[in-house]
Amino acid sequence: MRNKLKFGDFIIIGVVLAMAGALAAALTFHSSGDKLYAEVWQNDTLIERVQLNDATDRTIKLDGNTIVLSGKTAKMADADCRDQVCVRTGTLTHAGQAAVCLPHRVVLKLVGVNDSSIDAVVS
Amino acid sequence: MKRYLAAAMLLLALSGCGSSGSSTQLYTITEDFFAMDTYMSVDVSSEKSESAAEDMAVKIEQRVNQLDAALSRTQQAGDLYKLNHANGQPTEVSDDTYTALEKALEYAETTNGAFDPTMAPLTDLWGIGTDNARVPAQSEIDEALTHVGYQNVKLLGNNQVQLLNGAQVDLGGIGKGYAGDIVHEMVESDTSDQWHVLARLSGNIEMYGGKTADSGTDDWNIGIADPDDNTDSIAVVSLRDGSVVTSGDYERFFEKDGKRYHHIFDPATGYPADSGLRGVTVIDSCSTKADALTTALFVMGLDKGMKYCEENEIAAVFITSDKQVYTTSKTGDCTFEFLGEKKGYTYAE
Repeated sequence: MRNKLKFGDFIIIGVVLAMAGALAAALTFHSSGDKLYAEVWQNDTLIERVQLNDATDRTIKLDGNTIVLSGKTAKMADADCRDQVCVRTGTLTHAGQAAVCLPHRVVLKLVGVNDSSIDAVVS
Repeated sequence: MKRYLAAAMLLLALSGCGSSGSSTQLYTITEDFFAMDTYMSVDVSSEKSESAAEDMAVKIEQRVNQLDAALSRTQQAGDLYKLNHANGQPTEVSDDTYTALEKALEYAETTNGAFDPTMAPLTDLWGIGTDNARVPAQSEIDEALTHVGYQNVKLLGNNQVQLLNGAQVDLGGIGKGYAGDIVHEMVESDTSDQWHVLARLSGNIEMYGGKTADSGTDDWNIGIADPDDNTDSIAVVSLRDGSVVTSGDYERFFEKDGKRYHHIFDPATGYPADSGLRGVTVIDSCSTKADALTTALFVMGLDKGMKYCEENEIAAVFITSDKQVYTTSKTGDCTFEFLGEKKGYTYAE
């Protein structure tokens, strides 16, 4: 026996579609939160905040430090400080990582959603 | 100092969204600041509100700065500065400084001096990390060594301390560890909230309360840095509470004539420890102890260090210069995952 859809069924379908749309919108919003940013701080002041993407290619020069943003990575490429710890830190690739130049009080860090399963690296 | 909402996570168990499946909302604040001659970053999560997390984060920063002032040997108002400039006279110090000194001497004794809080004359002489870094003459090293020895620190009671034989105290070897323990005590004693804290205090990571509110998903994952690439990890240890501390030869050093001179000194020789190790990590419930032991084990080297750990039930990870990774029996108490194979490391189980 063949059943025809009733008015109430259309209501239910409409509600389900609306919920699906809301879920899709929520997921889209959530994915926009996955963006990765490089932040450059000096003496507790935010100097630059740059959203990183595959095409990012930028060099930021401060007095004493040179920072290179390349794709979704960032590194302290050069520093005239005495200890070079910030340069030796290497290339940052995940949110939560930071390269710090203590003598110049410069902090380069990546912020956003941490896509790594690692919460912190001890070194 | 710098404060921002890292995430306000509404993790809905039934939605399937999010990674943890936790049903508890956490409000997380990250506090970044400079203290103890390093950069620190503390994540504080409250189960109540963002403002509660922010209040606790601020309290933690203030307390660490207070410790910094007490334990610094360069801040003129600090206890150690006064003690080191007292020309051997008994000096009154704060409760924090006295307690830290008690712990430093305890670990110096138990490691037979491999960790020694009186290395200041040598660190000043070598100047590693300063504009004056150099290889001193042997005669200079010999002279500095005459003032080194934890037995020269006398705790007289009632917060009175006396330095003998021209000794100078430097608590840099346990200061951040001591701060980690203080942070732990602060959140543990405050029962107004359920706290979840991840404190990155340079080479010391302190964890409290688990990453989430639900068992099974609450372990923090702490990477142990590759000595050749500090942003990458050769292993991961996972645990809910406690400390993970590393000392290595790869951050503070200078090179002369092709030889690396790092900042971890052997009190027996006055030279940077040449023990065949690149790094030592200790996992322990006491951050101060872990801090002191990473230095001591680095100085001891692999064989003596492993023996010490087995005798004293210490969880430790050793990375050797020839890229071998060793763990002690006690490390089995937490989850340990080796990741270094692709980077040329071998896990010597």
